[in-house]
Amino acid sequence: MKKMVLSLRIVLLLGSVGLFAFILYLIKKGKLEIKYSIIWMAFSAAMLLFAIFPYFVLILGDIAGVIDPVNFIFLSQIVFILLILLSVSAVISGFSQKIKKLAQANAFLERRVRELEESINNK
Amino acid sequence: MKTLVIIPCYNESENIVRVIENLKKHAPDVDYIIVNDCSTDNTEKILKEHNFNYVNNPINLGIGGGVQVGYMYARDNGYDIAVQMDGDGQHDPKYLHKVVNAVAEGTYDMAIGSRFIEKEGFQTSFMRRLGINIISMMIFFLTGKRIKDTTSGFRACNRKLIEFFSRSYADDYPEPEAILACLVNGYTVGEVAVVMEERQGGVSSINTIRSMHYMIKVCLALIVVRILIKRKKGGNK
Repeated sequence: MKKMVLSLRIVLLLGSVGLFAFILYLIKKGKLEIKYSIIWMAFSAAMLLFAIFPYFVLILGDIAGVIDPVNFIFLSQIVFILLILLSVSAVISGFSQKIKKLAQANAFLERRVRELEESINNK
Repeated sequence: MKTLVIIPCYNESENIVRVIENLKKHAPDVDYIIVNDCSTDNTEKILKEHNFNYVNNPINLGIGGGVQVGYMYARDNGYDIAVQMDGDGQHDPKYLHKVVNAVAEGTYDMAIGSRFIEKEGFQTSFMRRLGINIISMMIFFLTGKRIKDTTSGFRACNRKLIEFFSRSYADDYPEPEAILACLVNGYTVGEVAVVMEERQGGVSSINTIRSMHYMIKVCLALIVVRILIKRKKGGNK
């Protein structure tokens, strides 16, 4: 397998540090919750690891049978993106269940208020 | 036995008054609750004017989430039997007691009013029947139990199932999934012959474009539910 070229390592290093900084910025601003940031941090940490220690890429790439190390980086990025998408779908499903419960509770409250108002008006 | 009729209702201003008057005439001994699933027409105004017993969903939850509101109401108000009946006039209250009695006498935990046992009255279109048959075969394949009218929304269930449905009830198009959920959780399900009418006004919630999506969703949901839920011990009569 080919070696990992220095320019690729530098791009990867800058990219992952930039991503990490952006994640921290969003958390600080309160626009990203820590529980949803974990998978993103793992993503940028993995890319940082690959940039600093190309050894991992070469070993894992050999196991996966890729010829060029950059292909293994692409492969791992695609896996991360798929995991993130799946987790987003899971989060949305959780929200839709919560919204349903809220709406149902609200329906009962609205009925109670309506009946209370009627009983007051009839007095 | 304290019995509650749950009537899910979405844009049924043309039908709902007749449905309720019919119900009061043929079954004066039962209570009812109308679940107005955020109708966009003047359904709510009509319900208010006639002083019907109803709840308003603040957002459209679909049949599943809407009917579940009815089951929660039945649970919280101590009903022994809950009956689902559509708000469009397809289900004749004349048959209400027939469906209820199957549950009251303990024959089944859930009794479904089926239009395909005696094959009388409105039998729906060929395509719709094909879809219902495919779902029926899938339920037979997954549970070994033959249910003919799998999408019928005319069904009664006992207190155990009222509590079960209050906790979990499928979204979107829940009828076949509810049958499967009952069967794999060890509840008994059976059919009772009824005659259904063609809807008298308004628009059905299922149109041709949605029906393919419906079939795929239902089949997938049935398989997933069957794989994920371990069958509990209990008689499937």
